[in-house]
Amino acid sequence: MVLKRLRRRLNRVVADDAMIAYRATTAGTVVVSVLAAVTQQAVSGFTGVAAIVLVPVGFAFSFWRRRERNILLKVVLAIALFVAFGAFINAVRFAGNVDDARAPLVAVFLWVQVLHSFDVPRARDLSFSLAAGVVLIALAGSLAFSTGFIVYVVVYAALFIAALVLAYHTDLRSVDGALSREIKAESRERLSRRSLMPALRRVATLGAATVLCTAVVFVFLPRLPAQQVAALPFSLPRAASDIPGFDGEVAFPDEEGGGGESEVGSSEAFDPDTYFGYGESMSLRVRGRLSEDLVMRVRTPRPTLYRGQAFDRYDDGRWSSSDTELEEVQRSGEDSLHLPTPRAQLAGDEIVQTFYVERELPNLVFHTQRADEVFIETTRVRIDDHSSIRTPFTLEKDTIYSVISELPNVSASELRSTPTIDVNDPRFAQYLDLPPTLDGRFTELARRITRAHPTTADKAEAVERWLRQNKKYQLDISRDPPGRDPIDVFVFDRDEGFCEQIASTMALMLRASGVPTRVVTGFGEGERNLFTGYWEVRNSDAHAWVEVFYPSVGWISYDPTFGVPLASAANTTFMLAPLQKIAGSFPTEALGGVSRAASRVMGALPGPGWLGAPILVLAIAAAAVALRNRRRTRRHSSLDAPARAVEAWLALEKALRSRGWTRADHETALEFAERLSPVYGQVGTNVRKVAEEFSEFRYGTGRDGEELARWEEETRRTAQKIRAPGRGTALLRPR
Amino acid sequence: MKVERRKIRLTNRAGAIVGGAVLLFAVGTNVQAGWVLVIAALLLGILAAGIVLPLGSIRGIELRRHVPRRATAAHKVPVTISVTNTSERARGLFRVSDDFCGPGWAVVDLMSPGQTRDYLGAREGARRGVYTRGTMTIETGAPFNVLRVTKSAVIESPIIVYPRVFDVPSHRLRGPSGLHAPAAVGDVSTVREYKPGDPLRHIHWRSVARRGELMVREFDREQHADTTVVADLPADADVGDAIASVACSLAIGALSAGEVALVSARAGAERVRSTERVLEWGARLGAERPARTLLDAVPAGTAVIYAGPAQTTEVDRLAELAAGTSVIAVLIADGAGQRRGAAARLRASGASVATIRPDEVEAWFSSGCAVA
Repeated sequence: MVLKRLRRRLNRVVADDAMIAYRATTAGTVVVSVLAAVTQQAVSGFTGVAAIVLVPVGFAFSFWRRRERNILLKVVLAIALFVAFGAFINAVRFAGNVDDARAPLVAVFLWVQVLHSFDVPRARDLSFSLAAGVVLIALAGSLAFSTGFIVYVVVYAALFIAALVLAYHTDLRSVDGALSREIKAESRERLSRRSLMPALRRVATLGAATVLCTAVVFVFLPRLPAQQVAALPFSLPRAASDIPGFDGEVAFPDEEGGGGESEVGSSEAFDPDTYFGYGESMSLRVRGRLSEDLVMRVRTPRPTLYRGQAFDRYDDGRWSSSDTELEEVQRSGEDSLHLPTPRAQLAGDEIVQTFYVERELPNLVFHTQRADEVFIETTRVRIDDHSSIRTPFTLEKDTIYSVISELPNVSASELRSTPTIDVNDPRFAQYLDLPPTLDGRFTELARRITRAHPTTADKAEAVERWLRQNKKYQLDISRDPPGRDPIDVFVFDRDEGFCEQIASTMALMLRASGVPTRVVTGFGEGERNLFTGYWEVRNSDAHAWVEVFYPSVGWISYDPTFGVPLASAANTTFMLAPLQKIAGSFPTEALGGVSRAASRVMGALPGPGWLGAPILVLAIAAAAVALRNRRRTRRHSSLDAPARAVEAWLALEKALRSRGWTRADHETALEFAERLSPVYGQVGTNVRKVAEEFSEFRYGTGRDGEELARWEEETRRTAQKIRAPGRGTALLRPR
Repeated sequence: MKVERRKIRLTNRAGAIVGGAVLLFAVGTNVQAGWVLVIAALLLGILAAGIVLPLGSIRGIELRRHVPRRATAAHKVPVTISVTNTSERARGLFRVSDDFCGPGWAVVDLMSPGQTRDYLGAREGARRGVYTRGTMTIETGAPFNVLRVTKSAVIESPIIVYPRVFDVPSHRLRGPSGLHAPAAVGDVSTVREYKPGDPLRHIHWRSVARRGELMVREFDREQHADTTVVADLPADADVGDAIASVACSLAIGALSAGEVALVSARAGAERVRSTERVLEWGARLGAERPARTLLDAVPAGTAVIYAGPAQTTEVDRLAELAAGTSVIAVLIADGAGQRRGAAARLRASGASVATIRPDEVEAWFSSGCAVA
């Protein structure tokens, strides 16, 4: 029966429907998907070139032989498919994880496409090619971490849409295999200009509708954290050589490329390309703005701070580490390096992060808190008491490494319930040490801030609140007077400071209150590239924050800079900012100079030129937004303080509702905040702070308008953070 | 164009796109690969556009059908579908289907606003009957074929489809064993050439001797025995059409000898003189059953040609008629077992009987309309 059916199928002569346009566009989609896979280096160069050549040849051959039975060809193709599949199985056998299997998977799909292109006589065969092309370009997309991949996606999308339309044309004209039974009575006129316009309009409508729908879907597509199914780590070979005589010191890449020790961190000279927080020490007297260079891309299920170093000793405006004897960790026959478990640990959330280094960096293995396992192409690393991991080579461009960490998952109430440490315990001496350069008024101020708060967690929050209420974030500040401690100047003489000063102040104030702390330097989470899904970390994302020790819990990160308001608006005009963002989103790798030129032109606005139309559109949109904002501001300013507070709080509640948190009718704002605070990480803490002050603004009296405006701004930022999770935010939903 | 029915359904392609997008979304989320999410969004975008666009893409399309007033069954019927875009936007990429006088459809490419396009088709398989309207369907899935929108409307286009008729051999119309036997009375009016079937007694030998060819006398009054054609249609459409063909063919053949009486359940008895009237009668024949017996309407003293089903209920009445007049019964059998029974009974009563299947009608006529 089966043989009979097979024979009937083989003997069936295919209807002579050329479908040339459909074939050509389908072949185009396959070629583009193959090209995309090849450029992502998913397959070898030879395979790639062979595939790009063979696919069009195959389609042409198939067109030529479309009326034949091609039994011999089918047999040959089947054998070749078996061979390709065998090669895939063989490659996957030695793959250590799913990621390692991606390249063989791409290769096997690529060969399926190539072989299948030799036998596509019917419309349904072309449909298979289209579907396989989607898989191939998706696989290539999973390997791409460049915005330049958009070139392939755009070309592929155009061809794919055209192929779908032509497939519909073919389908429309064949009913039960027959061709159209009616003949157009009128003579077939050539496309005149009059008839061309409706066709063009229709194509434009189709394109616009599809692009619009795709954009809307893409914007509203949920970006779920990959917590349930974490991507496995992998590493690729590195090119850099080991640092001679490496004993754990921080080394910076030099121009010769061999890596070597540097005094960057110890100098007060500012280099916009190198963060001054890495090195043997970090001086708070250094000023300047870091460059916007992309330093790494991070694949992470959720954004975190990436720590590089930690400092426990502060003296005369300079942080350094007391641990100079770094422990060596060696690989013991496995793919990864298992790091010594830090003391006083609680179980946390396992998180796997892969770092793609885009620019040379010091020999620090950046990672989220509590790294357990490192996958990197070396047999040994060194680690200090503060969990700062050093490799025997500087991180060169294209270095890839993965780290498995156990992110602390502890609620605020658990932190409050932990006992305070014995300040006389010699183990904490270095974390409680205060420099002689800070006089008694600093200690007195710190104790005054934390006096009313018995627990470590409350003390930390009190200091954060004080910083938030009294300081503003500003990078461009003048130099400190000579002979004075930068923290003393920041606390008592300035209203503005940068993250290193803010973090240092918090750390030292808590030390003055008997809480062990250390200052950590590394990178912020960066900005997520919506297209690639990777977090793009720039040099300017270099950051400093605080870690506070809790007995039986361990070190917990605090980022006091988060709550500190900006000293001024962004240093760019209202209109230029979005334009620069658009310019920045150009596929720089693909368009190269064009993109840079566009950025320059945009930077030199006004000057309509070819950008006139988009600028006009943006200007109209901006005017509409400005008008709306003005109306809102007018309405807002007419409200009294309680009404403004209610309005701001309701906006925050709305943001929380979007994350699944709804305030019960019987709950007050504070009760609601208390409920979610333990399970919503740093954001939960922020909400609680906002809720505390809300009650004062809503029901209390005596607070001035400036305080209300600051609180409103903080509430708005917290709401933003909830909607678009950022630094230190966990995307938890109510269980 | 009044839309009678509107149907919207998702196609299998929509399911495949959703499945692919969900799979890519899961994979993209798992490996945190944004480009995979872009591809997933592209698929869903295509799906969304493919659902939205067809909904209005056939709005403002008017359909008309142009057909001839008369046609003959089994002959090709020229039908023109006229499509007009009355909207203010370009429309196209849809299919118009029409089952009026046989299946036909046309694919309409892009049409400018106000444009009219005619599609001419030769429909095969038109059945005998009188038609006034038929349903036309317009279907589109443009541009991606993920959603099919179908609209149906009833379009007026009157047409009468005559039954298929065949030539009856002349010797079957005349002569003693013919379907129509004339009787000569009165004075001789003229002499004419002999035609097969003329009685030998009418040969005018003197004229034969003078002219050297057979000549027969013609009388000033030649009384023909009138013929009544009875069509008895069953419910089966194929058998009914075959009966109509036989009845009309024989009636038209009998017309050459004068007036013919036509008897059917729908129209009763009527006398006709023209071929067109016979064909119209044949087109309107239906499967109604008379209150008593169809043959009661047969005028007395006429020869009877009966066309009916092999399992006819008129056997007894036909046998009675056969005792007094000439009866020829052509029975249409749609099964082999039906060939016996009624035919044997009729033959026994003196009627001439032919039993044929619907697909043997043409052959029966071309082979000389043999009866036994």
